[in-house]
Amino acid sequence: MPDQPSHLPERERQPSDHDGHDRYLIAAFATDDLTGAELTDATALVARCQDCAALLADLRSIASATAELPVPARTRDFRLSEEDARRLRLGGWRQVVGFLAGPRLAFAKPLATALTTIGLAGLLLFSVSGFLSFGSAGAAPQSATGNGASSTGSEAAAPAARPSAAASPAASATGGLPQTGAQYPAASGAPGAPSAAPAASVAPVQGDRNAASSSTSQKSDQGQPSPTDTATGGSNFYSSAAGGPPLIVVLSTLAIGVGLALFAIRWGARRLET
Amino acid sequence: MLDSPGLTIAVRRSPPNVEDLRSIVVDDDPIQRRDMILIERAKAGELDGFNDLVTCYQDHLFALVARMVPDRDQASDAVQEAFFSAFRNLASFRGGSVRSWLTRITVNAAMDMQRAKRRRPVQPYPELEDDAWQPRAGDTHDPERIALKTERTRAITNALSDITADQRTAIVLFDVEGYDYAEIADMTGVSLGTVKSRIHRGRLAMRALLEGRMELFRS
Repeated sequence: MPDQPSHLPERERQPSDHDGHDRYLIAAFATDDLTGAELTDATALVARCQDCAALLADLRSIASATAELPVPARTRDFRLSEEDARRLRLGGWRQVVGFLAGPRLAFAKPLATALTTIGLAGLLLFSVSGFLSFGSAGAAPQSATGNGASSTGSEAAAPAARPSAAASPAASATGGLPQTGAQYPAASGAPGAPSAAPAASVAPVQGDRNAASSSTSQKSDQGQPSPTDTATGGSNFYSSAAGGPPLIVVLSTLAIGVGLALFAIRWGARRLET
Repeated sequence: MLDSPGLTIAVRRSPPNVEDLRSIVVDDDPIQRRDMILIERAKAGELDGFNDLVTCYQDHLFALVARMVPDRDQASDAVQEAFFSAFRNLASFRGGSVRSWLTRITVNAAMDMQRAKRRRPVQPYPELEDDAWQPRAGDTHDPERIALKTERTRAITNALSDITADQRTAIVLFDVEGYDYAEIADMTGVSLGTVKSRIHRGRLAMRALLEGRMELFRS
């Protein structure tokens, strides 16, 4: 082992070179962890660099000195008393606490972290999407069908619907916010406000899609469910038809609740156990 | 070649039963056999059985933790907590080495203790100042050598106390206790690569801390 590299030529012992050398490689070499190319590299490095050779010798000296540390004497008797044993024996609720705090539920903490993070991300996503679509609705009015981000109605109906959406503040507002159509009649085509449906029926160009869209809108006006309800005034991931909170909010809140509950259970059990 | 008799025998031979092999090994080891008897007594509700186990291992485990935790009181608390934990989890012991099982519990208790109380003691390793640290058997009585050894010990323990707790744990388990990488990874719950990294970086950090005192170790 080249621990004494004094025979090396002076020109190869330049300290400036050593700064760029891989000390971690030397540390691995000192514990005999290297094989193959790494071992060859480390051997060559130690052979040509005096500082690397000194580092290797120092690391080995430190390891052997660490192994020879004196044995610290125990200052307390760790045997258990009857009282300790009675206290530590699991029974009744302590058994439950022991299980909850035990290694079998070690996954609870990462799971709780993941659920809470997902929940917070969901709420954040909901807030950001609502904010963005609100902004886009203000800048460029879209069809007044409750969800500004979705493709509501037909392409032909959209221009016709724009004036009504722009004319009605309620419609423009609900086009941006992820609110339910039922809460905002102007947006859902309820009586009392001009809706996209009549506008679509008088659109100058009507293809098959337009016709389907118009009939869909009319069905919606009659209170019957339609396939496009999920994308317009009905329940979808960002909104709810029944006036309740949107699905994403429900799921996110649920995830946060479960995550925090797991945190609390695990923390409480560990506290009680000690 | 496929018709060779050796291959036929190899194919027909049933695979070895791991459980059976382990039990044979366990039975051959008198210490392990003694430990298993004590464990069974403790499981049956005999406190004396468990306390005999404590008597067998408390010195070893305290010495281990005292090197990991640079505070005597914290080390004692960690060992006591480890024995409490072992007593509580006797039912979960599924066989194998009792010594390794207890060591794993103790290392975890010591690591928990260090995470919970990250305060740095005013005098790390106060044992060096009194007679609680016992010199290894066979030490020479030459005063100069004793003084040199004391200085080395002081320098190493100070350097150990100044590296991170994870690095210190890995180095103590590897260099002092002699566990291999896989055993340390199992005890500390990290990967093999992380164990290696902690040992290597810890030694480099100790070398940097001992920069001006390396002549103590080179002589």
